[in-house]
Amino acid sequence: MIVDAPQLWATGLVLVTAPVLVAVHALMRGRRWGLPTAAFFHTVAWSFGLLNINTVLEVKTVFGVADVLAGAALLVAVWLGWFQVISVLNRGFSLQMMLELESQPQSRDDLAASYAGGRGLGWLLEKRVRGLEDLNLATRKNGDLHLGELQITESGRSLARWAALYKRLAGIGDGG
Amino acid sequence: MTVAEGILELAFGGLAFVVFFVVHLAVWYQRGAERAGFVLMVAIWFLALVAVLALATVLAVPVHGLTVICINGCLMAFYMHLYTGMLRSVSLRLLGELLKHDGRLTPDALAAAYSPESMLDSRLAWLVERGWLTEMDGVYHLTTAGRRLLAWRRPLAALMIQGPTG
Repeated sequence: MIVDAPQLWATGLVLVTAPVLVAVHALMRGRRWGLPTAAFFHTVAWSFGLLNINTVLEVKTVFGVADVLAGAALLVAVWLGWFQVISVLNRGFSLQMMLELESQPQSRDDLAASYAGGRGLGWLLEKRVRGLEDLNLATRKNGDLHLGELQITESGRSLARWAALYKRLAGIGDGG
Repeated sequence: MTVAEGILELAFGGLAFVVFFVVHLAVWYQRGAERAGFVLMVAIWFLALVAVLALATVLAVPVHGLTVICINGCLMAFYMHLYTGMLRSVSLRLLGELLKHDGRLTPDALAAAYSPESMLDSRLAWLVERGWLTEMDGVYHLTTAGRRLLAWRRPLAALMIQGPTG
């Protein structure tokens, strides 16, 4: 098993240039292509680092396939990790409940009513259903969840079947 | 270093993931996800990676250790995203309930199958179990550990969050 300097430089540069990912994503927060754009600029910064490291730091490093592969894999892992963090911040149900309780201790019923700054749990369900509609996984007969019937689409059915199989194998139960 | 050797490293990184995945699924199937837990998952991941790197050393395959670790880390990051979604996603649960009810749910059927109150109860129980909340006389309080967790969130949220969350 080999571990050498070019690999350390290629992977180290991913971490050194990670603030580019965060900064570009912060600048583009709330926009649809925010994360892909941030990932693109992170890749540009990392590639620029690889191409110029010999000139800037005078380290005389020659990068091979394994080194670039290590850096690229770490690059994608960092994006996925960052995406996970942002998902939890934006959509974390449990985290939101903790935020409500930070201001004052509450009973279960009060928490249900005060969830997400007083929007309530109905808002959460509505938001998730809208997400399913946006991804064409489910549709509603009527615009309002409380009035209309929810129907699964073909792609939704296919995803739900795979998810059910995985959940059964992994002993997850119903999840959610 | 040739492209063929790069493929060899991809294969070893992938093999470590496959070993992890098979052992993890076997253990989870036996114990159930709630009883298995995150620490056990990390332990299985670590052991699978060490076993595959040891195999490469024994077979004298000239793989770059860090490349194998990074490829495996990338696959694991993807899998963890998938796993937490399966475990906790409300949207996937809704799809699951739709599948169980022949693809259609009226508001009443949805409330019976997966009510917002049942979502709340399962999360509250989980947060109490983790030690981030305590319950006294039906009122939930944030613990010191819970406040510490929220302190980590604050700077990131200030930088990244726009609009309502949850």
